[in-house]
Amino acid sequence: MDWTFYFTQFIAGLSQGMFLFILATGLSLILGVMGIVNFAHGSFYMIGAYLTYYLVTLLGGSFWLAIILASVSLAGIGYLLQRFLIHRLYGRPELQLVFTFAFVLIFSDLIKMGFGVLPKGVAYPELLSGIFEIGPIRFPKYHIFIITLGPIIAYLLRMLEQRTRMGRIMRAASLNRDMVNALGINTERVFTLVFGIGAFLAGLGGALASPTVSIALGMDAAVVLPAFVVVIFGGLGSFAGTFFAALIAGQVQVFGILFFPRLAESFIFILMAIVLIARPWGLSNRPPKFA
Amino acid sequence: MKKLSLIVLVILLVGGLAFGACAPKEEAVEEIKIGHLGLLSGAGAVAGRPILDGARLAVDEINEAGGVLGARLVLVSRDTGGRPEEAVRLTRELILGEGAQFIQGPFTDACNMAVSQVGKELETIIFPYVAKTHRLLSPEFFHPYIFQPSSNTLYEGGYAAMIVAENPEWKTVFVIGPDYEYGQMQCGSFMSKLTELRPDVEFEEAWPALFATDFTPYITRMVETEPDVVFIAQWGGDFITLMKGMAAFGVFDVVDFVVTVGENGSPEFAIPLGDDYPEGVFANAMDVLYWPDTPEHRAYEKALADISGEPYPFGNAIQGYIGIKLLAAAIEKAGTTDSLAVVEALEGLTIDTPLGPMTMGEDHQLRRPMIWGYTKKVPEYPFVVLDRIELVPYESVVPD
Repeated sequence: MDWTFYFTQFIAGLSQGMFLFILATGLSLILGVMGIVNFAHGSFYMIGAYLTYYLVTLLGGSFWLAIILASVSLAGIGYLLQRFLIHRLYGRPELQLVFTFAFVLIFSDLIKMGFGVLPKGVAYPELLSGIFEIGPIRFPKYHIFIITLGPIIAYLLRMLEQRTRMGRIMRAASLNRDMVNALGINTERVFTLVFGIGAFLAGLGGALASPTVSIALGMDAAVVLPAFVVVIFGGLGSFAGTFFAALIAGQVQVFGILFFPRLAESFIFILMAIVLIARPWGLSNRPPKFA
Repeated sequence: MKKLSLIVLVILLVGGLAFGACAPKEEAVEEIKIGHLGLLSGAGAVAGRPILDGARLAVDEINEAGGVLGARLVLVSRDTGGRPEEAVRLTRELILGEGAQFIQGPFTDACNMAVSQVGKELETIIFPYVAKTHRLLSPEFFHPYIFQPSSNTLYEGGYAAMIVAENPEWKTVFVIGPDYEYGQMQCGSFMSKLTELRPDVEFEEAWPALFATDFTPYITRMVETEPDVVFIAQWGGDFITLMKGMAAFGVFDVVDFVVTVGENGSPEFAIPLGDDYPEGVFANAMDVLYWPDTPEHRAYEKALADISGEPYPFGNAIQGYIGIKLLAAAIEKAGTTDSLAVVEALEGLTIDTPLGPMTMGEDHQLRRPMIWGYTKKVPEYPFVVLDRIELVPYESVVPD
């Protein structure tokens, strides 16, 4: 095997990592800023994929429009969930687990009722179907697109976090919610926005992943654990941490499968164990404190 | 107030129990219970769900015609999720708890191997519907209660090898299969038959885990090695994900021939793949809705479409259907539901199916022909169909 093979695998690792990042970053936001363990995050991803299937394959619409609509719908679902349920669960992790898991089951059954149990497919968008070739390296255009999109999203989120008032409030709230409240800021509104953004990102992740996977029940469970792992070892609430954690996880997954295929499902957890033993608060610098 | 509510609650509960006990008992109808171990969730559901539909159709048809030995057939179904421990637990529950006299299923070969032993222990006939591993009936695992009502990996892998062997220009074969009993048997059978016919062929192997979510490392390996032929043993959701990945990476442009087994030519797998399923793939199916064009077959497809609600009825359903019909015919012939008597009735039994007559061998292997063909896009259907179809008898690959 020559260098072109390993380089192609490296690119595959990058695209895996970026898919994971888009999904995990929403989770990181929700967990870091609000302190909420949102198991339904995988369900948001799955709904995003199914909505894209509905809009593209069943209604014959444009892929790009479908992505936007699906993500925005998830933001709406996230808003409703937060408004009527999540806001009662602050600081009570045992309830968060139970209630968000309940929604995992509810969403799964709703999807089963609406779409049945058979897997669905979404075709690659016209613009991005086909292979991108540079010399001996060939890779699907769509995956190259995801690799470029990941850092763009990371950058936008970083700008939000660092340069906007809302971002400052989010960072403050992740460090000390009570203080933020005491300063007269309506944390409730901030949290609703944060949950909405988190759900939007999960839906976007699912929508973007839809042409590359078999869209079926159980895809929520398949992604939620790796997403949590990435969030945890990246450092809670830190976009940079999540980004690098996702990059590493993607590479570990791809090269791990190559050399030890029977351990395929375990790599991400082995990685998490190693990182947490060395740095219990994850890759990012600061140990987070949330209320 | 609290005490009052408690008293009311107790009165309601006791009253409810008493009422329930006094309710008139339903007329006891003679029933024959068949437990159905289905694969109804996860990546395999696309293959498992239609089988339950086929079984239900057969049960309805038989009951409408008067049942078996005057008794009603009752199908009790459970979902194994493809997990052998779960399948074993459910088998016991169906036999000991529900009183099932026969077990149809389970699905995956890992489950089949495990449940077969339960059948031996509890002396109940185990009738899988898509059992493929040829180890199921091998001397070390055989016992009177186990049957194989589908083709097996010797036949499938073997026939695929015979086809690949015909072209002398194909010298390198990339073999990819799920890393468990079925995949290993299927690929093993293919490779050993092909080596026997063409000792000059070289193999490259890849073994992703069953129900893996990403095949990219294996696909990039395919692209890198540029084989003449790719043999795929993945099935169900795995097949769909793998093919999508292969399409995205342009594998179909660099290989000459793709052959796949495990019913991947059926509509249920062609539909989700849409345009990502290229033409010229050599695949097989248990049944396809568009062939053969006989009155019996058309009637079966129509009834299946009605019961399953699928506009394009799925190929795997026929295995659920044939299984029930075989069991029912054997019980009729034996004149009793006693397991050993039915076992004897099954051996050598021939029944009529929508694909023609099929015979259960004395060795408990059904002489099940499969439909093989090359995928082709046609205007009549929004998915690839099999062209140049041949119904290949079991005996032409595995001589008696």
